[in-house]
Amino acid sequence: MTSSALPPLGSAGTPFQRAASPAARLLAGAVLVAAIATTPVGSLPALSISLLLLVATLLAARPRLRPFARRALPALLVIAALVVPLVITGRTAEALAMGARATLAVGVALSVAASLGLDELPGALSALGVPAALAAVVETMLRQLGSVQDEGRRIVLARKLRGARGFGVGPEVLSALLVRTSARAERAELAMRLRGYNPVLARERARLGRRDLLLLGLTIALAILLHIAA
Amino acid sequence: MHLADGIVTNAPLLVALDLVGAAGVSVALTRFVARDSRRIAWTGTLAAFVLAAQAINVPMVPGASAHVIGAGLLALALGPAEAIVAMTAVLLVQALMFGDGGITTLGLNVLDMAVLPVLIVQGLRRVFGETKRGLTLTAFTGTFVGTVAGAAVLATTLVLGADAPARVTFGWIVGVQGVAGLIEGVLAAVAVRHLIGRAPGLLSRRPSALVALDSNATRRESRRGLVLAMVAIAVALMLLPLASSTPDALEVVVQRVHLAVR
Repeated sequence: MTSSALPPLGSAGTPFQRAASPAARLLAGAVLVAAIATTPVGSLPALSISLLLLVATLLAARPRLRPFARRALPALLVIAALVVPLVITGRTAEALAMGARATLAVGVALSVAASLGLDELPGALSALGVPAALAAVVETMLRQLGSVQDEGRRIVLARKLRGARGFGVGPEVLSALLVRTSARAERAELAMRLRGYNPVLARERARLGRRDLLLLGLTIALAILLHIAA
Repeated sequence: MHLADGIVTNAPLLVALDLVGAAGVSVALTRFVARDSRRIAWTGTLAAFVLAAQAINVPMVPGASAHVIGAGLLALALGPAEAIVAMTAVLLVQALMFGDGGITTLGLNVLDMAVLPVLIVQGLRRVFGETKRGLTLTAFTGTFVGTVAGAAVLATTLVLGADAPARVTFGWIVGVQGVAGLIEGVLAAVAVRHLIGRAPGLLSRRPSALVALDSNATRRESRRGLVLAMVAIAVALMLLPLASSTPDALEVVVQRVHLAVR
C-alpha cells in the first residue's frame, strides 16, 4: 500500500544498507544531523566538513534524483521562509549562513532517509526505544497512507464525473474520506492479523547488532571532528 | 510551520522546548489505549490522512505557503491523547523521511503543532459543549486559535533562539499561519458538520481510556510516562534560565541589591 503512496527515495540493496541495520542507519543520520545543526553559524570549516558529510552520505545512500529533489524542495522553501525576517531587516549574511547550515542538515537527513525503506522505519524506531504505541501508530499510518490517497482520488473522480465543480478537495470530500477510511482501516488491520502479521518480527530485524559498531563509531568520530573543526 | 534543523542557535532554549514537547507526548502516551488494536488502526489512519493533507501546500502571500495542520479535526475525531500521538507520528515521519521539520527540533514542532493546538481544541470543546453547534464552533475557533498559538510559539522561539527581529518575525509567521488557520478552521467546521450528519459516532467521546487503565501493565506504563514527563519538565525549567544571554529579572535584582550594599 505504501508503494503507491510514496515513491522509493533510494535504491534498494546498496552496500550501505547491507552494512548496517535500519536502526543504526537511523541513529547515525540523527547524530549527523544534530552535529551539523549545532555547529556555530557562519563557521567556514564547519560548513566545509558538513558539505563533505553530505557528499559522503549521498554516495553511500545513492538516492534517486527526482524523488530526492521533490522531497528536498518543500523543505528548502520552509528554510527560506524561516530566514526571511533576517533578510527583510538587512541581515542577509546571517540569513545565508543559517540557511546554508539548515540546508546541509536537511540534505544529510534526506540522504539517510533514502537508505531506509518505509517498511523498515517502524521497526527501527522500536529498536531505538520509541514507545510501542507510537511505533504502532507510525506503522499503521505508513500502511494506510496509500489507501487514504487512493480513496481520496476515487471520491474526487466520482464527484467530477457527476458534474461537481470548484476545488477537488472540499469539506464534503474530507468527511466522506474520513467515514470510508475508518471502516477500511479496521478491516485491513484485522485481515493482516488474521494472515499472521507479527510486528515483533519487524522489530527483531531492525535491531542494533555488532555489525553496526563500525557505522556508529565512524558517525560519532565525524560528529566530534566537525565540532572540533568549528 | 515546521521548524528546520540548524535555524535556532540558542541550544538551551531548544532543548528546553524539546523537553516540554516530549513531556506532552509522554503524558498523551500514558492515556493512549495501546492494547486496543482497533484504536491504533483508527489513529494511524487519521494520521495518514493528516500526512497526506499536509503535503498540499497552499500559496498564501508572495514567497510563502502554508499547509493544513489537522490537529483540530484529529482532536475532535480521536480525543486529545490519541490526537497528540497521531500528530507526533506525522511529525516524526516528516522529520525522518521527508526532511520536513528538524530532528533536533522535533519536540518543539510537536509542542506547537500537536500539544498546543490539541489542548486548545479540547478546552474549547468543553466550553462549547457536545451539540452540533458546539462542535462546529469548536472546530472553527479551536483550529484557528490553535494554529495562531502554535505560530506564536514558533515566532517567539525564532526571536529568542535565532535572534530574529520580533516585529517582522511575528508579522510574517503569525500573519501567514493566521490566514492558513482561518481557512483550515472553516474547512474543519464544515467537515465536522458533515460528519455529524453522516457518522456522528466518529466524533463522540469514548470511555475507552478508562478501560485501558484497568490493566496493571498499563498502569505501570502510565506511571512511568508521568514520571518521565515530570523529569522532562524539571530539566526544561532548569535549562530555561541558561537560554537567555541577558540577565533575567531575578539576576538584575540581585545585582542591584549587591551594588546597593557596596
